[in-house]
Amino acid sequence: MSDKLEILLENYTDIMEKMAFMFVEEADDDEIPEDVENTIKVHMSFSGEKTGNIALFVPREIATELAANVLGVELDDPNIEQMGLDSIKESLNVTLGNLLTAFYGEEPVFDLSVPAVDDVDSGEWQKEIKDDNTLKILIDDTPAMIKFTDQ
Amino acid sequence: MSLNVLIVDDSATVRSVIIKTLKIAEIPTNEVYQAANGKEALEVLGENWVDLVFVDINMPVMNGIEMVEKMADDGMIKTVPVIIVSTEGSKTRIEELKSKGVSAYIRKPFTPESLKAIVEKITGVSTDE
Repeated sequence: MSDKLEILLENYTDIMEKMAFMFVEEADDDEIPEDVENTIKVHMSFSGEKTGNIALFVPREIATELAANVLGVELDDPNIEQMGLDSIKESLNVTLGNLLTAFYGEEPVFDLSVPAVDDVDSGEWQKEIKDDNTLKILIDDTPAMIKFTDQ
Repeated sequence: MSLNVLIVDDSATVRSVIIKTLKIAEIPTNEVYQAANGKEALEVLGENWVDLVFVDINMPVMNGIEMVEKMADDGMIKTVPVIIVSTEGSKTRIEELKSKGVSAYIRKPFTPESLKAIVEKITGVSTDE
């Protein structure tokens, strides 16, 4: 694994554990399925001394589990889906803020976009599986992927 | 003394977490106002007495930096302490915000203990009362 992916894994693991008591680990290739359903891409960009973006590919169920853990609400709460999307966006926001410091130090100033969510189909998912810059992970044993790119 | 608190963050999750953390830290609160961006927050500040403001930086409509600048222009920041709660890690930006009158900075993710320590320091309100 490259140094950049190791820092990404370390940061995301730390944030998810602190925010939501959820366990993140690197996945083996055979633990990532080829096809997915009900999966989202949470993404945001940054600009400043460097520009780039971060994207998290994750099943919707992880978003709702995150909301339940962070907010202490039940999984059958009528607003759990919206709370899940809000929580997963915030988790990525916190991860990116901490990653920028880990990669570039405390001096540069960056502007971050507001996180957005899109649906992901199997085609996009498979494209990410093949990308060596995409980190394959398990979040509480559920397959997911995260990618950080900069220029 | 109980505090009237304003929490400004576009994430409802973060607003809920801050409210929950204030309770866990046993910080005495009276009214807890919420706003999803700087524009909404300035409206709340114009209509209500607020003792302490928690502000995120990265928000749509009006971000935390613009909000702090407006509060500084109005002189409001001299009477209402502002604590930045953000993922921001740039010392340059934090110093810039402090020079505009921001009282303190807490980086996400934060613990109840760190929030409690900063609120006690800024407001003088002890949670042991």
